[in-house]
Amino acid sequence: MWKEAFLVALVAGGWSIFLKTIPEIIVILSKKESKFAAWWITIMRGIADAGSYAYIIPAAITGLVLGDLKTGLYVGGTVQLMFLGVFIVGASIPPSPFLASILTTALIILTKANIGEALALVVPLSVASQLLTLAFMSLNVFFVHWADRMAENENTVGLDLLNTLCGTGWHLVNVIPAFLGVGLGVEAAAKLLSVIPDWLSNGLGSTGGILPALGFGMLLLIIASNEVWPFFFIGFLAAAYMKVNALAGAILGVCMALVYVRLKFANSEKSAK
Amino acid sequence: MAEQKKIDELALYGAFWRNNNFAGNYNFERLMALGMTQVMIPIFRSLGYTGDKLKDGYKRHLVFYNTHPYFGSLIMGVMAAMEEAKANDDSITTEVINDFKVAMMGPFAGVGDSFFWGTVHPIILAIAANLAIEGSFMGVVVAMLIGVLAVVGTYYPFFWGYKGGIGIVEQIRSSQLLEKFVLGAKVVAMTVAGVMVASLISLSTPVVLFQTEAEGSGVALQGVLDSILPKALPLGLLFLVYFLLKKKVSPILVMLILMAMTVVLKVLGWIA
Repeated sequence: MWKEAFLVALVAGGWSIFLKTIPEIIVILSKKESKFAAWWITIMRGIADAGSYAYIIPAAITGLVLGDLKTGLYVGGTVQLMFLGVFIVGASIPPSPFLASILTTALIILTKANIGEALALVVPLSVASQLLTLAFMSLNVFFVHWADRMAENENTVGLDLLNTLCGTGWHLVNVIPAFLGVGLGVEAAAKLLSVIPDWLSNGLGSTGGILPALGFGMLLLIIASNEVWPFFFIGFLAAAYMKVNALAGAILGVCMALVYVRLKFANSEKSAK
Repeated sequence: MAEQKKIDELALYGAFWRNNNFAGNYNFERLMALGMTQVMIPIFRSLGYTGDKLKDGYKRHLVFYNTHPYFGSLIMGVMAAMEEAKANDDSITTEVINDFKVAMMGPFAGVGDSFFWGTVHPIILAIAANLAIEGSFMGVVVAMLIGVLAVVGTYYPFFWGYKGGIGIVEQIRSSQLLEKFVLGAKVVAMTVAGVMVASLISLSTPVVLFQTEAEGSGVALQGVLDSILPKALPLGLLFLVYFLLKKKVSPILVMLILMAMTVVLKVLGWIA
């Protein structure tokens, strides 16, 4: 299982240590900036960012390296919908299914576990990820105090390296559990799944259609106000009665936004005069 | 008059790539403070800061900072411009620089959250997820758009911020650009949220009311609900969640409640 564990760890962010962290360290130590390096690092960040928000990507690539792309795509898509709208706002860290989407895909492919049952593990694993994130944020408090001392000593290279390596730490928070999870945990997890009674795994399997409500609830909590609630109902009715999909809904929204913003600000400019 | 100090172009690119590590040291005490400081490293180097000037520069930026990862790069760009101005004119105080940061980080977080997290990401991800579930690799390709947005969404604001300097704030304020953008993004986000609540939350009931021994008797509850308002159950569920969150119930607890509720209702046979 260790070969698979290594591959999965690469997918979970190990790649970025080679392609992003090492170039960064080279630039920092040489103290020579270049446009090529800047663009290279930025593009690597773009790829890492896409993976960290779109769980489809890590899940599909996990599927690909383990030889079953279809399962990866299915698990990624399903997990994605469960967590649509759940994101970091301010300093509140929500459960993150990044690691869960990878581990669940690996579990299904490596142990031939039932997909519906395995999806029951997504939420507990996401909460575990969240705890790791919170732990790392606490550890980072120690590092920022270290940075204060470096600033006092005018240790520029130290500061530069410290923040870069902390950035790599966010990848390690996923890489290490992915490696150990596949190397040691997959068989135990498969055993655990076989003990869970059918009624429970059935029920947990159908949370896939229910959990998007949480994501949208969190989204509305941030953006909803009396002024914009009507647009929510317009979108809802368009989809409920006319089966409008996400893309068409977005176009509808943009049209309404253009009209509404123009009307509103035209009035306010008039009254200002 | 002494020669005007100017930031070297390559140093700006140095600041630009370091901006990718904005949240490297994301922590509970000062959030992105060290990320902000790292961006300033090539700027200070290019402006020739040494000794106390360098020390003060680092201390100036090692303070609480938290904003949106993409649009926030505009603030980083303005910071570079302000440091350049300070290097030439020491009357610009640390307070001026920090006041600007504190004043801008909130609104920028607001715009970025409703524009990227609230609107663009859910739309891209919903489309990508549906493609992926059908087994199409296009799902991954569509999802990669998020990475393209991350690159484009940091590059333009950063250099725009540097070129515009502190004047950009006045420009944004007088044109009401920020307010228009926030409102527009909210309208789109609310519309899309409405569409997705109806199309993505799947909750229906197989319950049959008034059933007797006779075959085909009874009234399917789902049919009754559909004739009143299609997707009434998903909408009701959403309002339940919204109400709980509004009452400050933590998202994790809501998640556990939802899971327990689903299992119980499923065992009772009340939901499909």
